[in-house]
Amino acid sequence: MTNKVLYLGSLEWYVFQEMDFFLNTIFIMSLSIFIPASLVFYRLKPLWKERSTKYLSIFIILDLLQWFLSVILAYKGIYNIIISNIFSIFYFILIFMYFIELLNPKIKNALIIFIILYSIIKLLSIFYLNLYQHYSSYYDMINSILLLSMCIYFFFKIMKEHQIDNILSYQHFYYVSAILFLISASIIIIVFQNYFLKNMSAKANQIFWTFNSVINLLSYIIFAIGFHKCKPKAKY
Amino acid sequence: MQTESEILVLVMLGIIAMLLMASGIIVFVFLYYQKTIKNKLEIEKIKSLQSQELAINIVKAQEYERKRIASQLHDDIGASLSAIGLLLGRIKNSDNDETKNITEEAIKQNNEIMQQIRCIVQNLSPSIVERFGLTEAIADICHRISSAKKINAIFNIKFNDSDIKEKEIQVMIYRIVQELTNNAIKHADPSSIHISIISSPDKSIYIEISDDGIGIDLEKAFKSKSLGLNNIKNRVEIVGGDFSIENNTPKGTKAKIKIPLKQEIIK
Repeated sequence: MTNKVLYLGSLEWYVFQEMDFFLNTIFIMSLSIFIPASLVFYRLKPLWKERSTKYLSIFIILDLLQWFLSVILAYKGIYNIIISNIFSIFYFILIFMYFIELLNPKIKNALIIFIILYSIIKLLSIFYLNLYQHYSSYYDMINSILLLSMCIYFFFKIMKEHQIDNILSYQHFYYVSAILFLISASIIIIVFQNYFLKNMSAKANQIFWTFNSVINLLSYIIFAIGFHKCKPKAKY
Repeated sequence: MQTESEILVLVMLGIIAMLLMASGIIVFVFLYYQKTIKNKLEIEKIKSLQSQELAINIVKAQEYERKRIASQLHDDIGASLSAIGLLLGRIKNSDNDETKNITEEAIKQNNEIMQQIRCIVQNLSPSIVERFGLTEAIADICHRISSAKKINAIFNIKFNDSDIKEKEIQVMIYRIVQELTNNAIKHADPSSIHISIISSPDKSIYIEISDDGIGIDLEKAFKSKSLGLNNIKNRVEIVGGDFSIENNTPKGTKAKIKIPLKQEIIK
């Protein structure tokens, strides 16, 4: 998952602070995490009943926690990319577990083994390859492609089975749509994020990360609609 | 700078392309689903209309068969019994007392059989519905119950025969009322039976038949073939109606039937 708040600390922070517009738009859009988070707390009981939605709720709560930690570290002028790198492990695990519960695929065991291996390798790479100042893009790229395939498989499955009467009141349609938006954009963002941070100007970064914030905002709104559709007596 | 702006433009275009792809997938799924649901609803509507047509045809076939049996009973057996009556009449005035008594007894039994056949013919072929309409037919049921069985039969009516255009539906309602009132007389030992038929603004006919008898064991009733409740239920459901039966308060049984009339019948 991409970092929502771009406060990099010391020199870069100083450079970005000069550009008020940049600071305001990205920070304000990063507040959009509160939209799905508040709905998660409001609909906690029905969300907690189903395993798949439980994983998604934890994902949103962790995202909110990451937001708080990133803002605190940025305010103190400390690099916070490490937060994004560590939290991205949990994000991918939770979203993979969500899809495993939802789709119950035949390759369930293989996916679980993949998640465990990915987590170990990424943790080792964070602490041994010193990923404090840049993102760990390669592992996230593979995960994103896998998750993209799972989103497409989900849509294929619901079209084939015809078990839902009204797709607009089916909460998982919104969750998977939100994940699809996030993942499809993040495939490009993941490839270029380190390049932009190291080699591009502040203005280019401004545009790049504002775009990222807009995509996050859109995804959070779709997540929130999905959480809203999860009514206490709903069957799905 | 130029290179930087080119890279930025390419990256933005890449992100937009991926987002458009994602949007395209979601919109495609949504439209496909809408189309599938629409097709499903149309199929269900056609099936429902076909079921209704089937129900109408079943009723028509049954009524035709009943008419045929009634006609044969009246024309063949009725005529034969009349002939037997005439022959017996000729030997009734015999001098032999024993022969006279036996003949009178035979004439009496012959007349009873003819009366019973007349009743069977009347029940099998409700020409009263076709000739005088549903209202008169049910009023006739109430009259026969009151006079023959000494049960207080009350008929509450708030509809016109013209509300039910299909004769087959009128005959079906007549049969249902007939069946339920017969059940009440045979099994419930009531002192009164209430029959209510109301036409509502939602283009449905509401029928309620209640009695003050001994009540009903619902579980046994639906398992029993003699009560014909499952037949009534199936017929009503085929035309899209509802049928329920429950124990009345303070005592007795109440049957409620709703028959919608708004669907077009396929002829």
